[in-house]
Amino acid sequence: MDRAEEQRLLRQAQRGNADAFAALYHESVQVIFRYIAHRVNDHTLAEDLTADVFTRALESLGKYRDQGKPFIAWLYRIAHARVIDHYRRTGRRPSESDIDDEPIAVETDLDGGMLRRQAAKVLREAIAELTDDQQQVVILRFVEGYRIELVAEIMGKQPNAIKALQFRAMRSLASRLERSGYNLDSILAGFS
Amino acid sequence: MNDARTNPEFDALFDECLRDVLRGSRSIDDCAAAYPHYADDLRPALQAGILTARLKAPQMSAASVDLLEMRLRAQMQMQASSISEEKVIRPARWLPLSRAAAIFLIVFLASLGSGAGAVAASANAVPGDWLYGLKRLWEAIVLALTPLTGEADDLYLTIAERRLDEVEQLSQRGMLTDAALLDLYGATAQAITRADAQTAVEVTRFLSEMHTQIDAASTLNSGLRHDLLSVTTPLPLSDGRLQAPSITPPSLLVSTTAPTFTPSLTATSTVTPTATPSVTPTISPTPSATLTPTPRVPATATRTPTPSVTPTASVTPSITPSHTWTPLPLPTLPPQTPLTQATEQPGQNTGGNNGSSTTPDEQATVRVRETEQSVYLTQTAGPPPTEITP
Repeated sequence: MDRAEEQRLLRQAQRGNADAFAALYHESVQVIFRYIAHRVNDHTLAEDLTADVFTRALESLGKYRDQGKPFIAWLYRIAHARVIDHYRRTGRRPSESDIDDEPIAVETDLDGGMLRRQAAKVLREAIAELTDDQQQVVILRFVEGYRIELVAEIMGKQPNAIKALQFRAMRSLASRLERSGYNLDSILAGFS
Repeated sequence: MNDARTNPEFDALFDECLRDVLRGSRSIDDCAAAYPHYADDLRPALQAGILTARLKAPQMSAASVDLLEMRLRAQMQMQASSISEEKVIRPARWLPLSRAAAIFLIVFLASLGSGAGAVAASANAVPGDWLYGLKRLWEAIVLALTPLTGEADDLYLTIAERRLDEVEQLSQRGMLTDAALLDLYGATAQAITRADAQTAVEVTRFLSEMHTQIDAASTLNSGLRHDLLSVTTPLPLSDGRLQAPSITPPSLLVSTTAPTFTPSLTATSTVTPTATPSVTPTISPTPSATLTPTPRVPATATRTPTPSVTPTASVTPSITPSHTWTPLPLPTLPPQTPLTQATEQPGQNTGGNNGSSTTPDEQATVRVRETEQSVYLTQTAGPPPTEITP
C-alpha cells in the first residue's frame, strides 16, 4: 500500500468509514502481532495486546496527523507502549517462551531438528530479555527485514545508533546461546 | 583483539557483513577473513544474526484476525452513535464551538428531528447523493459560526480535504464533474489564503497529496489540470503563511443553467429550514444566473444572518439538492510575483510532484526481505509478512 493510498484510507477512516479502517487493519495486524509476540513471548498474550493496540488506535484515530512517517510507525509506538505497560503491570519480563516452537526450519535432518527447536526456544527467550531498544531493532531489522534507515525513522533514532544497537543485540544473543550450551557452528551447519 | 564494543566503524562494517551474509553474497568465514582484527566479535554476532533472521515468524490465526475486525467495526459503530446522540454533531476535524453556538446548533438540529443522525450520515456524501446538500449546509453553518469561535484556519483546510475526498470518490465511480473540480479549486484557494504559520505545514502536505492525485488523473482536460496543479504550489511568505500563486480563472467554463443552490430539507410535511448563516465577508455573493468563468464555491455567502427554522413534523428529512451552484468569484488576493518555479516546498513530496509514481523514500527503500528471501529456510504458516514501504 503506497503512502497516498494509506493517507486516503486514513482520512476516510477518520470520518467513520469502517471499510477504510479495516483495510488499514488488515495491512498491519500481522506486523504488529509479530512485534508483540517476539517481545512478550506468549502467543495468547500477544493476541490480546494486539487487539488492545488496534482498539486504542481506533479511539485515537481522530487525533492522528500525518507527520511524514508511515502509519505503521504510529502503530509501533502504540504497541511499544502497550508492551511496556504490560511489563509494568506484571512486574516481570517473560522468561519462558511458549511461542509455537517451530524449529529454525531445516528441510532434512530430524536429529538436528530437535537441537534447532531447542535453540529457537532459547533464542526467543533471549530476545525477550534484551533491552527495549535492542528488541525493537531485532524485530524490525531481522524479523520484518526493514532497512536501517526505516528502522531509524520508526524508532526516532539515527542510523548509526541503530547499527550499534544491532551489534550489541546480536552479541548478547550469541552469548546467551553459548552460555546455554549451544554451539552456533553446529546449529548453522545444518543449513549448509 | 580490538574492542568492538563502542566502535562506530565496527558497527558499520558489522552491518555491511550482516547484509552480505544474509543475502548470501559472502559467508561468515569470508567476513572474518576480511577483517581478522574483528573476527572474534564478528563471527558469533553474525551467527546469531543468521539464526535470528531464520526464526519462524509467529502469525495471528485467521479466526483471531477476523474476530478482532468484527470487534473494531462494532467499536466504530458505537463511537459514531455516541457522537450523534451525546454531542453536537461534529464531523472529524470540526473545531469546537462556543457554548452559545453549541446551544443554537442543538436547538436547530433537534428541530430537524433525526437531523443530527442525518448530518452524521452525510459526512461521506458526494455530489449527486441525496444527503450531499445537508453536508454542504452543515459546512455553511459551521463556517458562519466561526466568528463566534474565532478559529477558522483549520476549518478551511478540512473543507478542502473533504472536497478532495469527494473528487476521489466521484472519480472512482466514473462520475467526476467539472463542478466538483471547481469546488475543489475554490476550497483549496481558501485554505491557502487562510493558512497561518501554524497550519501552513499541514496545508502544504495537503497540497502535495492533491498535486499527486490531480497529476495522476488522466481524464482531466489539460487546461483544468494545469489550473488545479498551479493552485497546489503556493509561495511561502516570510511570516510563515502561504501565498497562493497568481490565480487566474480556471480554464473550464462550467455550463449549467440553474443559478442557485437551494438546500432544502423536505419531509412529508414540508419542513423547509431556511437557515442562512453569513460567512466570510470577503466573499461577495453573485446571486445571478449569469455564467461567469470564475471558480465556484458553495453559495454560502448569500445569506441573511438570522437563521429561521420552521419545523412542522419530526420526520426523517429528505434532501433534494439541486446540482448547480451560484458562481462566486474568489476573494481578491494581493498582487504577487509570478510563480518562478517549482521550488520544493516544505513537506511536499517531490516524488509525487515530479509525476513519478514513487517518492524518493520509496525509491530508496530496499526491500531487505526480498533480497534476503533466499536465506530464509523457514516457511511461515501464513502468507509472508507484508512488505512495508514508507
